[in-house]
Parts: sequence; structure tokens; C-alpha cells
Amino acid sequence: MIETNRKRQMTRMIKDNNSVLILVALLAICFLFVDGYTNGFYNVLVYSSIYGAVCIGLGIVMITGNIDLSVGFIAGVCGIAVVIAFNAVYAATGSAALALVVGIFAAFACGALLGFINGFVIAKVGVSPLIATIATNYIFKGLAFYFAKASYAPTSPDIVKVFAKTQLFGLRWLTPSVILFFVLIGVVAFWMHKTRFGNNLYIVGDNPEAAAFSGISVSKTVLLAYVICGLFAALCGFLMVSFDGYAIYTQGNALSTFPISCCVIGGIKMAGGKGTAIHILLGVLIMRAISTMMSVLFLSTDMVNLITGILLIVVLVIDRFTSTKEAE
Amino acid sequence: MTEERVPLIELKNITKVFPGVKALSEVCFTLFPGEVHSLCGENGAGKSTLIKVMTGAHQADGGEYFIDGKPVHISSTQEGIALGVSCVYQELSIAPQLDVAKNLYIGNLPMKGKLIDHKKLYHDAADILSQLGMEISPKTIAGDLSVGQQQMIEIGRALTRNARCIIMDEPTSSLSEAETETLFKIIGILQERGIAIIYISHKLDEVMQLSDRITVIRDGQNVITMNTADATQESLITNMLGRALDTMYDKQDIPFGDTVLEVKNLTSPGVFEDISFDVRAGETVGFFGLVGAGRSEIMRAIFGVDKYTEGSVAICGKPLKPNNPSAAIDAGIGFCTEDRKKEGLMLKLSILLNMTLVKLPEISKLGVIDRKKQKQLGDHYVNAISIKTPSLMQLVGNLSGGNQQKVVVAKWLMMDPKLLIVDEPTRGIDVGSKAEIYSLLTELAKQGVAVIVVSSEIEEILGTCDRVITICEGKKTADYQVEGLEPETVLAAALGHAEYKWEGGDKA
Amino acid sequence: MSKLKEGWKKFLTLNGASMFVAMVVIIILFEIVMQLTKTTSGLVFMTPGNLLGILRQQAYIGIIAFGLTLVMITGNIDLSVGSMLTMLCCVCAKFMMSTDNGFLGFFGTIAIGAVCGLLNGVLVSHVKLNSFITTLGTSSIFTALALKISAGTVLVIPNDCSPFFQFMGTAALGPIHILIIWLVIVAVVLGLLLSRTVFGQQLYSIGSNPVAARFSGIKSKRNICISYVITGACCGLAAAVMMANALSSNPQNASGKEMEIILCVVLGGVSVTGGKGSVWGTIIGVMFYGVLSAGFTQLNLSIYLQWVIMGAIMVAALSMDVLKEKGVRLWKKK
Repeated sequence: MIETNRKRQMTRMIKDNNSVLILVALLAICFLFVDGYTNGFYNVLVYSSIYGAVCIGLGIVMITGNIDLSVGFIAGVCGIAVVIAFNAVYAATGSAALALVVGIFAAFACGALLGFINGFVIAKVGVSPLIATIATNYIFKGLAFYFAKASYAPTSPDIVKVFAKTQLFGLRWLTPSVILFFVLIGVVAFWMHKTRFGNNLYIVGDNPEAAAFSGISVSKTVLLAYVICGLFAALCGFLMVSFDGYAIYTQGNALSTFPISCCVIGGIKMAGGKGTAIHILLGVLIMRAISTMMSVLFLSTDMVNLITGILLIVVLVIDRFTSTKEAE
Repeated sequence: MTEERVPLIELKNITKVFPGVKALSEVCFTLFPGEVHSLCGENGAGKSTLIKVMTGAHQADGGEYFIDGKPVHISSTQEGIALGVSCVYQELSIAPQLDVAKNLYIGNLPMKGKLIDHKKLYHDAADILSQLGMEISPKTIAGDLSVGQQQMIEIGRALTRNARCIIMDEPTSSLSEAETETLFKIIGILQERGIAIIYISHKLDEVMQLSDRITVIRDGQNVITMNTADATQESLITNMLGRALDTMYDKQDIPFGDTVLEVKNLTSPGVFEDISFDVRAGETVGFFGLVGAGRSEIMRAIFGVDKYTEGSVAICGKPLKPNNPSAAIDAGIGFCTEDRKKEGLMLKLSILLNMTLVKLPEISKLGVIDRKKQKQLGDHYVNAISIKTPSLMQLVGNLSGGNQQKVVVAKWLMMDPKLLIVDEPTRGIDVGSKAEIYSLLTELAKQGVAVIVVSSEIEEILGTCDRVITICEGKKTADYQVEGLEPETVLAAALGHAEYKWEGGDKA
Repeated sequence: MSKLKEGWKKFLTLNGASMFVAMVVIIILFEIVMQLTKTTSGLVFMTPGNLLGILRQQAYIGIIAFGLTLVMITGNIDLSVGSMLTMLCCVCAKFMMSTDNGFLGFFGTIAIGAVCGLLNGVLVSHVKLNSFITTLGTSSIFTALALKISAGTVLVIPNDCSPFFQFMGTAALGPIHILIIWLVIVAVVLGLLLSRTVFGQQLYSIGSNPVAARFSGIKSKRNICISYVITGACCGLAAAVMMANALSSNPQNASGKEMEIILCVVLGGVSVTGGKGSVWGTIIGVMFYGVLSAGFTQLNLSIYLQWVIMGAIMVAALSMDVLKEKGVRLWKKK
């Protein structure tokens, strides 16, 4: 009995953390067999730090057993909000620092609002999250395209670029955004493990009825998860502007399925109740490692698509065939 | 119970009205500390509503509610919990991917400032587990536990909230005999600590064994509250039904025909082994054993939803393809499963589709359904086994438990089965519907159908079957003719006691 | 009078009925707005020609939506229909450019669509993978293949290609374009398949309760797989007809279409959890979407603002639907 328990624990551990193995194997292959990967590796970290925030947000929503297909365009809209607010304040006061603060504030306000819209429709009204976010995605996409048909740059771009473009200590891979990303992962991991609200996310994802019986408000938890998701998407939107130097609708478009792939490959389950911030980190790193490999090899983006697709299915298959009894 | 004691809970003239229905009218109820008070009544009598009023899930439309003699108004289950009223629900509310400790303290985690105190959490959880006599680590994932253990966790959860009154709604419906024993022991411990228990069960023997007092509810009114010492099962049934039930069972002598089912050396490692038996046309064979003994699993293997490694199943002499339910159905096996909501019914679909689902290929031409025939069949069976419904297009989810079970039975009757397996046919069904189901089974046997009844209630087996086979830990331990059989003998065999161990005869 | 009321109530319980009413209201609203802004006399929006035009415009989406209805009734989903359509367009163009064989171009595309559906179906039903993620994965794969086949350029079929092929996408019966005929054929065939056949009814039971379906001897794996194959074939048909009509493929033109298609299906009353809905409802969903889109376009609204407004209307419609289901109890309480 004890032996089977230990065996079960072992399989569970390997199964839940298979993304570690995938990342290690992937990096080993890249460093050993792909010429120039060592030089290009800094890209993995920098890009992860730019696009990772949105994955953290989505991961939190997925842990509650929901999904958000609109995060990409929330990020897109927030990026545009940054530029609009920045330019307006800069034109009025001439202070770039003030403009930046207002811009960041605008992004977060915007992200929280859009996240709240999703959360309200899903948690309070009760529309299926998949369908609701497909519909809100239309709204956000329309807004992004409407406001940023052409690229839309801050009038004083240098201060905005500080976050994603400064290389600390002359290291290409060490930008403020990278530090921020890893700090955020740490904070979120701690928060989900140690706080009551963080734990409630898991309970709600695992068994909403049990949560409700225990006095946890499911709708409030889910609503807040979406607002938090919106805030992370806003951060991502800001960093995209910081990295690219301008806001454009394609920024949202590029993030349509990337966050979901990251979360799933990292080990967040569609059904909810499973996964940690570390899994999200792993997923993001895996996805960026693949993209970087493709660009180092001068392969086109369709190969990234192909590999992502295959990897998604492989992860599901691994999950399915290593399942302990609970999956049945 | 001495009259001077202040009741823990006192309900006075509670009334609750739902649209079109008066669910409770002027119900009175008292509960003293340390008392086990059973609540009996048919399905729909108002037990659940009464409980919901007590826990705060519903608010009464009239009447008064006292706790410790003080009037209270509970507007949510959380308030109820805070006042010490906890409920162990029929549907388990375990979060299967979290560990035991977090499940125990769900919604109530020990905090150190703003952060969770994990050390205290696991320490306290271990303490609770030892109080419940459970030898598992608080870090075990709850999904890995058995249903019985999960239920214990729920009781533990009530303890972590310092509950003074624990309501148990059909707690033993999915427990094995051994687990039930443990539960009863724990109820005893709780009682000694002054915790009051409200116990709801359809199993009257449990009610009689456990409780100090019994309250019977019928049609939303309380009929009687009596001390258990003054009650008998018969008097309870009479009060629940409002009429005496002459005889629940309707066993008749039916001549047997040819062998219908022949099972030889059926084995599935770790689940059951070397099971052999046969059933003849018109014969009703009971399968008795403790929950988890492997009875249902044997039936699932015969029907083909589970795999088996060795042995064979034959219907009317023809071997049956293993692990293929549709082949089993084609061969004439019907299977009313244990859990009708999970395995038997599509709650969101109409009665008609549910009933004719298996029959569809037969009443269609080139895959196109003959709707007229479908409707005729539906009408016929709704009348024949008196399913109470306004229309065939009614969703099954809107029916009562008894009528739902009849829909399942109708589904299998329609295909004119040669063999009908019924697994726990009367679970969660009120007494009135029970009798109807029993007479239906007798009727079937008369028509020459071989029937297998799987049940954990000895009385049910003895009342309906010609023969009983007992299963213990996956092995067949006895094969008795029912006539003149003592319940104790059957139970002993099912428990695997050596002195009763059945030997020789037609085991080969 | 009371009879009328009763009939009305009964009508509202039908699948997609409230959406139908909403659609009629919206058509009338568009008409009023257009009457106000335009000086010409007579109907502007509610003309048969205009409405037929909407149908024609929605044909591709509709054909796929009907297939997807079957998949979604089993409680699964197919997110790959958009990229599958893109890829099949490229496949069709390649067929026509290299062989100019109309039969191959038309039926070959449908067959390849069915094969793609089979891939999804086997992964979801036999390997038992989560359909959302699986089809998200295959969607990436199809996108990659589309780019590979077309080498990222627009493929153009010569104007003088097989007349049979062109007929399939451009012919017309009086005012009724062949695209509408295809739409109707697929709707009728799949509608009857779903409501009148054993296969269709079994799909409902699988979506409603897969375990009980297994205990009723229903071959769920096979049925789910077939529903994916049908969806794939529908994508193939849509692609073939689209190419026959337009004679050029743009590898980008169908990206994101899956969202539109899923929305149409859900607006028509199919539940995401399965077991509920019908092809007839989906027709309403497809038309609802088409009417909105056509109306806004005719009002010269920017496509981007259209998305915003349509998104908002859809959120409202979906919310109303959910609230209606919850609200039944609320009303009775009072």
C-alpha cells in the first residue's frame, strides 16, 4: 500500500513536472547541435520577459478552470493606451517622466477594466468563458485596430524603451524587464502558495461546489482572477511598446494563441486546479527557446507553428498515458 | 432526554414556500447536544429543505429558529457554519487535486498575519486525522482516497470548524460495510464530545441502530417525533407512507427455463478472480457482498464495459465478445447501473430519447429513425410501468429519483432482454417506488427473463431472489438457495468467515 | 388571442427562436436607420436581393458551422476549422493549377478535408485528448502547412480552368446563387442527419452523458470521429466552393474565422458543454451574424468599429441567453 503510494507520488511528480524535462532536453539539443544558439540565447530571456507577463495572467485564470482567448488583444489595447496617454501628457507638460507614469497608469487601468469586463460576463452573468472571450476578443481587437492601424509611437520614445532595451552591466540578456519578469514569477508563486486568495484560486478550479460550500465566493474569485489577468496583460502591453518602440495592432494579433500554448506546455491543466507560476515560466521558456532556435536556423515562422502544434499534442499525449487513476 | 436542557437547535413552526409548492409547513424540530436525531421521510417529503433552512442555504418564510435558546436568522451557509451548524453533503465536496490538509481546512486555512501558516495547517490536520482514526498522511492527495475516506475528511472538516451540530445526509449510501462501521464509531465519539448529529437515511436499520430520537416528515409536515426505543421499522414505514405497507416484496414461484448466462472462471487481477456461475431463464439471482467486494465490477465485466483477463461469458450457449458493451446488448443483456445519474441517464435529454436510446437501431431504416414507432413505444412503456410525467418530451433531469429509475428500466425492457442486471436498483428511491420496482422485476422473471440483482441490502436480496451468490474480496464465497435462508448466514459468507465457507457443489 | 399567446410561448421555447426574433428586430432597425439616412424611396435593407446576398456571403461560414454543430453537440470543439479552411484553399488551388482537373480539384479537396478531420477525430476520440488544446495544436499545424504549400504567396487559378469547377462556385438558379444552394443542401442534409437518424440522436446522448452513452452500447469513439470527419469534409467543400468562386487563395484570409464560426454556432443555441442545439438553430446564428455584418457595412461603418459593436452585441446576446435560463426561476418566484 505504502509502496504503491510512493510509486504513485513519483509518477505524479514526473507527470506534473514534465515541462522541466522538455525544457532541459530542448536546451541540450539547441546548445549541442544548433550553431550560434549560444549567441542567440539572450533572445530567449528577453523575449520571455516581454511576452511572459501575459502568460502569468492567463495561467492564473486557467488555474481557476477558466480560459481567456482575449488576453492578446487586451495587451494590444493597453499598449496603445500607454502611447495615447504618454503623448497627451508629454504634449501638455513636456515632462517625459510624468508622461511615462501616466502612461503606465493608463495601461493598468485599461487592463483592469477589460479584465473586469471578461470577469463580469463570465463570473457574474455565467457565459461560458470560451465563448465569452471569443466575443470580447472581437471588441478588443476592433479597438486595437481602430486606434492603431499604423504604428503609433510615443513622441519621446527613449524613456519608454528603458525597460526593455537597457542592458545592465553590459549583459545583453539582463534588461530591467528580465529582472521584473523573474521577480514577478517569484512573487506570484509565493502569493499563490502562501495567501488565502491564492489558495482559493486552486480550490475554485478544482471543485467550485466545494469552494462554495466552504464560504469561498466562486464568482468573486474568478472575477478577480480575470482582473489580475487584465493587469498582467497591461504590463505585457507596456513592455511590448517599450521593446518595439511603438504600438501597433499586430502586437495583439501575435499573442492570440501563444499564451495558451505556453501555459499548456508548461503544465497548467485546462480543467483547472493544477500548476504553479514556475510551470508558467517553464512554458514560456520552452516556447521562446523554440522560436529562437528557428530564428537562429533562419527557418520561417511556419516552422514555429508546426512545432508548437506538434508539441501541444505531444504534451497532451504524455499527460494522457502517464495518468494515474484520477484521469479515468 | 430531560426537558430542562436547553436544546441546541429548536425550530418552531417553520414554513417554506417554493413557487407553487409548500415545501415545509409548520415544522417543529428540536435537537439536544450530544444527541443523534434521525430524520426520515420519503423522497420529496421535505427533509432536504428542512436541512437547508437549518444550515442557512434557504431562509424560512415563517416560523422561528433558535440556537442555544436564542432566536437567530441565518442568511448564508457561512453564518450557519459560524454558529456551529455544518452539513456533510450527499454529493461529496472534496477538491480532488488538493491534499488532505487543505481539504480539511478548505475556506478556513490557519493564517499567520496575511499568510497561510503551513506548519500549523499540517500539524492540526494530522491531529484531526488521528481523532478520526485515519492512518493517512495529511499531504495525501484527496483524489487518491476511497469514497469512504473522503467522507471522513468531510466530517473532519466539520470538526475543524468547531461544529456543534453535524448534519449527515445519506452518509452511508456509497460506503462499504467496514467504512460504515467506522462512521458509526466516529459518530459515537462525536456524541461523547457533545456534538449533536442529524442523521438522514433511507436505511431504517441504520436509523434504528444509531439514533436516540427519530422524526418522521411527510408532505412537508412533521408527523411524529419519537424515542427510538418506542419505534419499530414497521411503525416508521407506516408513518412515512401514511399507510401500512402490507408487503414490499412480491416473490412468486416461477418455473425456470434453460440456462441464459454462463460465466466461467472470470478473472480480472486485483479486482475479482475465478468467478463462475450461471443464471437460468425466469430465475432471479442475487449478488451480495460488501461495497468494494467486486460485485459491480463483475457485472461491468460481463456487460463488457470493463476488461477481464481470463475466463468466458456465454449467453444462451454462445460466447460473448469481451469488452464490448454493444455486443452484450445485441446478445440480450440489459444493465441498470448503480449510479443512474452518472451511468444511466442523459439528464438534459428527453424521456423519449432516454428510453429508446438502445432501441434506436432497431426502429430505424438505413439509420433513419421511425419517429412514429419511437413515440408509440415511449407511450406504451410510460403507461406500462407508470412513469409519472406530463409529456414524453420532458427532460429526465426534472423527474423524481423513482421515476428516473423507471426510465432506466424501461430503456432495457424495450430491447426484450434475455438477461437483466440491476445494480442497487432501489438506491435513493422512496419506499413507494421501491415496491413498484420489485414487482416489475418479478413480472420480468415471469416472462422468462433471467435477472441478476446486485444489492448491499440483505433483505432486498432475500425478498426478491431465488438464489444468492456472495462475493468477498473478489471471490465467490457462497451460492445459496434463498428459501429458508437466514440473513446472518448470507452476511457471514459475504464477510468471508471460514466456518460458513461454502464448499463443494456446482462450483465447477 | 390566448391561443396566439400560447403559440408564441411555444415558439419561444424552440431552439434559436429568441435569436430569430432578435434578428428580425435588428433587420427592421437597420431598415429604419437606412430609411432615415437615405433619400431614395422603397425598401433598402429588407429587399430579397439584399437578404439573399447576406446568405451568399455567409455560405462558407455556414457550411462549416453546420459541421461544427455536430462536433459541438458531442461536447467537443474544433478550433482548427479556420486554418483548415485556409490550408484546403491552398490545396485546392494547387490541384487546379497543376492538373486543371475539376473533379480532382473539387472532390479531392473535400477528401483531404475529411482526412484532416479524421486526424482531429482520432486524436480526440481514440487517443482521448482534450479537444480544445488538440485542435489548437492541429490548427497551428494546418497554418504551417498552408504557408508551406502556398510558399506565403497568393495562389491564383487561371481563368480558363475546368468549367465544371467554375460552375460549382459561380452558377446561379435565377436569383439564387449556387453558394446559397450549397448552404441549403448542407443544412438540410446535416439537419436531417442530426434530428432524424440514429447517428444524430446518439451524438446528443454522447454530449449529454458520455458514460451513460457507453453503458447504452453507443460507439462514442466512432461517432465523435465521424462528426470530426464531417466537419473536415464541410471545410473541404467550403474551400472548394470558395476557390471556384474566387479563383485565388490568400493564405491569410481565413485566419481567425474559427472564432466567427464558433460564435455563429453558439449564438444558434448550441451549448459548449454539449447535448444541446440543432442545425436549424445554427442557421439562425449564421444569419444573425451575417445580418449584423452586412447592415453595418451598408451603413459604411469602419470594419474595426463593426468588430467592437458586434462583439458587444454578441456579449449581450450570450448574456441574455444565460440570464433567460437562470431567469425562469426568478420570474416564477415573484
